[in-house]
Amino acid sequence: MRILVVEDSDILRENLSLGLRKSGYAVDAAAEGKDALWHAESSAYDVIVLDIMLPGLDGVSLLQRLRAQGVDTPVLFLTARDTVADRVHGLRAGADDYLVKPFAFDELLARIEALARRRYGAAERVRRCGELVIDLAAKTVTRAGRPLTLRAREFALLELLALRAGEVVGRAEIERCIYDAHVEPMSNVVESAIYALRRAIDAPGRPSYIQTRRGLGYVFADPAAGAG
Amino acid sequence: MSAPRSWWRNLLGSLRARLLLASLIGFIALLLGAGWFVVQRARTLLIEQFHASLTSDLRAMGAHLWLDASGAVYVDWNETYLPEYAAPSGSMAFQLWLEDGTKVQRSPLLEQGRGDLPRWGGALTAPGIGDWWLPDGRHAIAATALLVPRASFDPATTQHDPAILTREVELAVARDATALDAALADLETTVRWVALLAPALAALLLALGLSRGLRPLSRLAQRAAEIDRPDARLRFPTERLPSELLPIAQRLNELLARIEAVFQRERRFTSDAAHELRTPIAELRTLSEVALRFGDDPEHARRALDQAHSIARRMGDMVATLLSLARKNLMSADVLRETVPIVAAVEAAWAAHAPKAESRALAVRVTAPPEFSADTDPSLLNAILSNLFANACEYTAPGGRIQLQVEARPDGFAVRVANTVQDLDAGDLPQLFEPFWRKQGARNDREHFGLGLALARNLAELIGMRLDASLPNPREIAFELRPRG
Repeated sequence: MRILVVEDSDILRENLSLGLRKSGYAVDAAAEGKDALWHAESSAYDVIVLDIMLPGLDGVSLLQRLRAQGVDTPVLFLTARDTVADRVHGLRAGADDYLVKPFAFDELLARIEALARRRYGAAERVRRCGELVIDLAAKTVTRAGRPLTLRAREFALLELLALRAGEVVGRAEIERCIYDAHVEPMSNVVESAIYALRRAIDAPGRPSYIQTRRGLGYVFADPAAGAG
Repeated sequence: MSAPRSWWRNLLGSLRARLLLASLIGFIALLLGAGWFVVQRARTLLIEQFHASLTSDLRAMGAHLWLDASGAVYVDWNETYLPEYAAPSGSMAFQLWLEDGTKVQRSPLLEQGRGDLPRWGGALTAPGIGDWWLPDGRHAIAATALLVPRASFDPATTQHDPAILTREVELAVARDATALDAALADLETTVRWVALLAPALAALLLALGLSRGLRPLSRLAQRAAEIDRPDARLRFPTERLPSELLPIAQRLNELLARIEAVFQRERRFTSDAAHELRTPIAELRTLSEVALRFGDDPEHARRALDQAHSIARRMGDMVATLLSLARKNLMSADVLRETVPIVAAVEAAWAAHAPKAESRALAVRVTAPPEFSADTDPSLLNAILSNLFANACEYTAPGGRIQLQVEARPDGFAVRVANTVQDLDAGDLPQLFEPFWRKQGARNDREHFGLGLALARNLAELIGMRLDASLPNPREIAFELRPRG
């Protein structure tokens, strides 16, 4: 999942980015409205966390311009403005959610996850694939009832594949979701990540949940169903 | 503990009772005076009319007085010519005396009752008049006059004693006055009843009139009781209000508007302060939660601590400025009055900011007259100037221009600070002195809270001056500190 954080407070922006990266998201950050517009126009994001009071171009105007350009990325307003009128104004401008400062980081994470799930049409927080059960909210994975240990980035990759289960997910899309703009992905970084995820979720000696479609990408599916 | 109110104070506690009592006392006094005057005037007129009528009767009777050649005097009357004197129980009587008091003739009423009329002398033009009582006890008024009877013979041809021609006799007439007395008694009774009943009726009418007349005052009081909070919708109605109450309602409405403005300013200030604190609190909360959640990196933990310290310092500065602003609002009694060399004070205040202006390559021009002094508070003046200079140095774009101008005035001094700006317009001027106001583009400046100009204006008011801002041209803002006109 790739997130754009737009916040003019240096400390808040830095810590939000850090916390989200540690939680497995690829994060780009912008301090000004015009920078944020450039980011949003030049890259695809799963969620945009947007402050309203920004220098240059304010958050509401930025959102209206994005919506006018057809960008439908879920936007969460993060702002100190807490009146009902402010919330209504923000939501009517096209925001998908609204969180007032100060906020709990866990709540922000939960809201970002909900927005991401909604984006991929997954209302349920739990996804099942054969013996694999993925709790998108609790960020836990079990296989045949036994909990598996995944790193944040491995879970983010699994989440992306699980939300698109049965579909081919291209290499570029995986790169975009796993790595933010500040990281220059190596040529084999996707293969390395897929390899690590397979080791984490596949049962030894059994077909993998992640199938490679040469030249196209990867498909997440229940190997038992495919065999049958 | 307040002293208990006396009963009469309780009784007269309301404006309505006071007005009613005062009006009633005045009305009764007026009524009694007017009643007494009317009765006296009516009595006088009726009696004068009675006297005039009686005098006419006396003259008429005098016309019937004759003297014959033998010297006998008599009233020539009969029932046909003067019937009112004929009835033994009539209302009129007359009597005739000789000069020596010898009774000559009297009317049947006196004959029957064996009574006499008085002898008060007088003349036909001015008879003696007074009260008398007829033989049957009735009150009467009598009129008497001395007169010379006309001769019933021709003195030229008839033998007579010449002395009898000039001999005076006294004639008296009297008329029953019981009808007059009854009329006067009726008049007095009527006036007494009016005097008795009119106050009660007047009290009722006054109470009704006062109740109706004071209704606007009652409505005003009722409205005042309803106004329990500063709200633009709660105002005293001024339509159809009596002219005496209109200025009161208008002044009260103005007062309410001022109170509401103060409350709104306080609410806005509190809201702005809370809003300004949201961002540092959000920063602190997020960095601490991220650090606690992912605190396995010592470098990150150290950076988080640095950031927390920075936030704490910034919040401390904000609280100090807020406290300063609050205290300055209360400390008017502590303002000093000293003779201050103004040019030196301006230069000293500027000296603290000159390095920053230099570091930002700002062109500074100072215009000041020869040193002069004015009475003011030196520390408050320094605080005002320092805020103005800091503002100019902070918000003038690098390479911009600052102009400081000091001027001596008959009533003190004026200081003008002008600097180039990039994004201010006339619509921003009213908000410049609002606490926490910053131009949108300047809000990401975490080191300034937008309190300096608000503080400077408050301090200016404390030392009896005013601080205003203007835009001489779209690229320049000027602050002027001058004596309050």
